[in-house]
Amino acid sequence: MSALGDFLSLALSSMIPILVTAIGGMFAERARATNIALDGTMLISALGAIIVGAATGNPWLGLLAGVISGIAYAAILAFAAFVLRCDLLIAGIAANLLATGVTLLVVQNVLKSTGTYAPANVPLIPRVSLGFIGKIPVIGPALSDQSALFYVVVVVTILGALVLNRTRFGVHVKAVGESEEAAEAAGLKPILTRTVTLLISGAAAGIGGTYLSLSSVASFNSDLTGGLGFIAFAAVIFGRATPLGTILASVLFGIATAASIQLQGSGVIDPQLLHSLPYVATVLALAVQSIRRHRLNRFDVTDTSFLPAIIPRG
Amino acid sequence: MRYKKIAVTTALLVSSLIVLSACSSSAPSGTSTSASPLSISAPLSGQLGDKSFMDSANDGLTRAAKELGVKVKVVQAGADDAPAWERNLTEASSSGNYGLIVTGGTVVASTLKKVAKQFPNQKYLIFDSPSVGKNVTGISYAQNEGAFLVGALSALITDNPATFPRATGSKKIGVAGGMDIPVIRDFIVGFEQGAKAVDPNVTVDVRFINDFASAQKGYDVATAQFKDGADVVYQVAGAAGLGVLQAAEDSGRYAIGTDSDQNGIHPDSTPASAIKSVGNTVYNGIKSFQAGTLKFGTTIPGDIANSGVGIAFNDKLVPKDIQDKVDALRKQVVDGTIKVKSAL
Repeated sequence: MSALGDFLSLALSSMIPILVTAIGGMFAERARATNIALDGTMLISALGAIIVGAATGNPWLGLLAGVISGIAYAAILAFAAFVLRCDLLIAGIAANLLATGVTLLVVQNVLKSTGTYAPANVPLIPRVSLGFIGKIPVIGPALSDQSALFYVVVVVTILGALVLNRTRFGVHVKAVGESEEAAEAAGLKPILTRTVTLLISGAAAGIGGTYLSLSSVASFNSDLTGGLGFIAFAAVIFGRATPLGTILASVLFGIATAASIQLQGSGVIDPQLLHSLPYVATVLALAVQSIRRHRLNRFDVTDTSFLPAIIPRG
Repeated sequence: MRYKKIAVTTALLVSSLIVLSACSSSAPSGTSTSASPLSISAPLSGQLGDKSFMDSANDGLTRAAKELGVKVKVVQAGADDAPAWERNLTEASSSGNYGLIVTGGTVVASTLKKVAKQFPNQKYLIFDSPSVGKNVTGISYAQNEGAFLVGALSALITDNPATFPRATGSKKIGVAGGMDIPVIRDFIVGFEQGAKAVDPNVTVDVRFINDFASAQKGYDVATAQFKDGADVVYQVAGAAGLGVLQAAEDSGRYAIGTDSDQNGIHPDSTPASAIKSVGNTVYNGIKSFQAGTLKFGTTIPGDIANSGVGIAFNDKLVPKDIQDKVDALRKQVVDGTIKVKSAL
């Protein structure tokens, strides 16, 4: 039974950076301000977090710095899109590319470190051991000794779901996303709402980025994310930018990642095949969802249902 | 309006490209004052800072710059960015400014083969790969032999929990490889053979991180191996391997470093590192090029016998009698009693 607990523990920790980033991306997506730069934002935040964490010796200040750098990077994206009137997707692609370059530049020329920045004796975000709960079979090993960020992410996720579905702001976000003209006619400011959602997605990606550089190992290099931001973006699309859907998609990707690590130990399945699991899961999930939508939409003529913002509304 | 949009987009893209290219052609790491010093360009197939393979190569280059009075320019590139390797190699070759171009990593061999053919008069030195052309000298390392030694040590650790308090005696050890590529497989084959040479009942849990960069992923993979009972995990994963070393520290078990001496990063949980003397061999290669004795079209082998590969013990953790047992095996490899298998 402990094998199952270990598996769940791995699935949950693999899910942390995906889930929190996806929850933020969900807001932007819902307001039709697709943030494709989640990956780059995570990278920038990871660097901001480790620099401040190493300089102050306080991992929580590192987290704060990660969140602030995420917001700042998203603000640049919003500026390019809404003030300079650049296409948001193109600006997002540029932001992803720019993140790799900027981080490498900072690591080499400011931190005077070669490719990988791994300062010694940096305090990490603590892990929470749960005492007696840790003794319960399956649940105990799954939850115990998770990074404190796991609980931060759970709180952020619940808050995100409540804000989107239970507050006035959430309604504004959905309204702006469904029909900009209608929202404007009703007195909303679509640009403002979209900017705020982009900043939210930046802040959330900041938590995800901090997890990568400051939770288990204090190290940073510009390949750190390994595409996790894009997996998070896929979780948003697959989850149709609803809280429940996004959570389930992130859980699925977490499980797929854990399976790719855990099943290697059994030696039954080829490791190359296992490593493709999270990506195969992404493709399959998107395909299944798209087929289902297609069937549902065949007789549906309304124009208010969610459609990924990448696809222009006809 | 539309034009403005396009212009801004282009400006953004261009500026990001400029930033990117500014990074890829970085930092000369040594200069010299002599009249017309030999200039060396070293476009690498990865980034420095792994405290392992690439850093060891950089040490050799820096030492050559300092002691041999050559000019060295190191150019880094992403570890999975094959187009950048080709671009950097071609750029260095076509400039004609460099007497010798140094690169390395098995992954870059096919790229160099292509580029070296286009510039028949340019001389190349590639470490961790056999020669790939008439104008190329290769330096190869018998990484399987180095891995053989640490495999033997790992088996001794899991067999002697009394001597190694962090071991459980599970008779289970592991390897966390970066990617499933031939050179990593070569490490693994040697590691398994070394472990079985000590105790045939030891099982080896082989897993791949599928990443040479993310320490977090290395941490997750190694933690899973420790939870499944491994007493020792040998990391062969570049910068991602830093996560493996950290996981051993946190899980209360042991990890073994690779390529450079990594024993000092976590001195309580790293009993040894397998060494590839990349730095020394690169330095010697440059030295013999300067002396005009470097033979092109050939490969310089580095193995246990000539100390091209070896093992660095952490004396605080590994007592003398265990070191002697590993050394006895080393001698058997040197005199040919044991032939270490290879995956290449």
